Amino acid sequence: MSRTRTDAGRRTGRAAIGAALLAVILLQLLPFYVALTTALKSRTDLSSQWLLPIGDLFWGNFATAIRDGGILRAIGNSAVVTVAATAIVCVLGALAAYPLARRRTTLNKAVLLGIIGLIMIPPLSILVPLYSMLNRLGAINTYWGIILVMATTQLPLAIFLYSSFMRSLPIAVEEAAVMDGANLLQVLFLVIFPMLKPVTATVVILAGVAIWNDYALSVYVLTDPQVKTIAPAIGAFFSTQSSNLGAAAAASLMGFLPVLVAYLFLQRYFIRGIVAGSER
Amino acid sequence: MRSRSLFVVAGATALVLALVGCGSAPGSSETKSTLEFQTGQSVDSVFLKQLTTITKKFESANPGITVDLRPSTSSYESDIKVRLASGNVPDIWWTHGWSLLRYSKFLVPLQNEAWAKDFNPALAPAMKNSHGQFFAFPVDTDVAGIIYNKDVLAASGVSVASLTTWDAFGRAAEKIAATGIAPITVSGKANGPAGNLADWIASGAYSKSELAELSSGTFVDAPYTHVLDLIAAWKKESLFNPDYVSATSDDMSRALATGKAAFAFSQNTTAGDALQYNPKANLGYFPVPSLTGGKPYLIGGEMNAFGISKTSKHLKDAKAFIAYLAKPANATVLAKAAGSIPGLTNVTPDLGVLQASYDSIVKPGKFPLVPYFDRVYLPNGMWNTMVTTTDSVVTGGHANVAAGVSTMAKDFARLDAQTK
Repeated sequence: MSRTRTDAGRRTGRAAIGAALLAVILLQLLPFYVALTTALKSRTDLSSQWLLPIGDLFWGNFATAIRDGGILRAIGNSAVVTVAATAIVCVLGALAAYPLARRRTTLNKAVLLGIIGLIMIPPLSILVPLYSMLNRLGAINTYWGIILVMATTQLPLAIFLYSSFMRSLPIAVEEAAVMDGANLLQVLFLVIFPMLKPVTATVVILAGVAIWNDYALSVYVLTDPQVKTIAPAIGAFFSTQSSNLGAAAAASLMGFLPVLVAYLFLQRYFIRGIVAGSER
Repeated sequence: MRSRSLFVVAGATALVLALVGCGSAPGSSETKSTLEFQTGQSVDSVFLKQLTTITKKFESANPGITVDLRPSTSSYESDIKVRLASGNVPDIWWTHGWSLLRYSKFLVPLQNEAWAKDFNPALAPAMKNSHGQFFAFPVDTDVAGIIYNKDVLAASGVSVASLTTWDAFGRAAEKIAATGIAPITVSGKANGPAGNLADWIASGAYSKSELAELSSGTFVDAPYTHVLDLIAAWKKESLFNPDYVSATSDDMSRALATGKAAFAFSQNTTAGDALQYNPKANLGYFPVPSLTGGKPYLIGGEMNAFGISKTSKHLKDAKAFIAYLAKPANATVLAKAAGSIPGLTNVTPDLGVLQASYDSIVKPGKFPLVPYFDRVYLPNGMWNTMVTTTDSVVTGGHANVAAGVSTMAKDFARLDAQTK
């Protein structure tokens, strides 16, 4: 009898969890649904944003996003910037984190604290000096300029994550490698780096998504449509005098597709990385 | 092993693409001069399309000059501020109402250009300094009142001719509210429409001597209290749209277009946007009543105007381009796209649905045209304070009036001291 009651309790619990998960999924999908209904309607269709268009679907917003907004070019630009900046963040983050994790001197602790402190500086508070410096370097409206800016803004978090992860790795493995005759670089590249896959996945997700979606700095650094990334390109559908929500929604939907595809292919690594990140 | 190879290939591809990107940076040509023109327009706007067409014709006629038209985002104002602060100034930029008061020290005076003889005198108070200099080519003249939906007023039995005082306006709004329509549409989400409420009313709340006090750096708080009290009274009577907090500027246009609102305190671009949602929307505008019992007035000044940077390396080419835009045929097309009264007197106005309001209110010259209150009488930087204090009254009512006035007074003193 009591077992039956326990089973019933379990079933109820599972059903509650299932219902809660379903609610969360619906909540997550809601913005995409509204974006879809907005993107598939013409400006003169004044029906509620919650309703799908009645009758024919309107594809004009997608055409506007591609033709006027240059969204396909922006997706390409975002891909270049995101891949390059994320690669730099991973490599430099891991290299910088290693001595900070292994040599726990007072100075290194202070350096690490200083780096963590950098995470808390709002990017816009350094906008004018940063822009002035980029201007003097000739980095405005260039890929390399925005790649460096994005890599710099994401590095503190990456160094923090890598150093936390490295501290949890057994030092005995490195000692064994040294005993076998490996030098410092060999230990780093052949022993340590292969063990960083889970945290690298976490860094790739956090940094990659932040760079892909960046608007705050990109909108100032990239004003030339030829090099604009996704977020400023979508922002160009809004000005102080007019806006085109339908085309912006269509552009947003196209802009998130590459991320969706990447996630579908790499979700195994992402989930592993997130779990590894949460354990640290 | 395979995944490692993939990683290496992906990394190499990224670096190659990045290098290709570095190599393809714009502006490398030495023989042609390229003018960077920050248009301030959204990428698919009618105005930008017309500007692009005219620019292409200019480039064909002047093969040595390329004009790089840059669309903008809603952070245009900050973008220009950052560029001016860092010395990376575009050759030509949209001055969004500030060619004289904010940007004149960065711009070339244009009063001696050939087209300047046709400068619309109505713009002089807003765009010309005491030496008769002006610093931007005016595409149009901003003349704004209170936008209204004619059908909504007709259905409520309200005659627009009767709206000459704020009492009459309040009574009409209550009548409209009784039919289930939110009379006044305002966006609390956008950084502007709430401030417009106070900006529109304040111009008629101060006497001449009080305005002179403001100009000399003393904040006069009694008239501003009356302004916020009036807004608080509207809040008490539930005359604002119920979705005020979440409503965007776009929602204001939609509400006007669909007859879900009667009034909007906004520039006529809002009416233009409304017509994109409903080309049959029956809209007009009327003069703003005065809080001191004076004559109703229109608010106006500079709207779409383009200035040339003092530090431009292609000054001659930039002037040639602006002169091309100022040709009557081109200026007519641009003013029509902007939906406003032309900024040059030799250009024919084509205001579409707002033509009737123009013909009956503006053309006869019966109503005075006053400048935007914040631009002329408040120190630079007060706009945000104006928006947030009005917002607090629209949401909190009478309880927030005193605090709002006090904040205005403090920020006025602080910002005025900074500008001296």
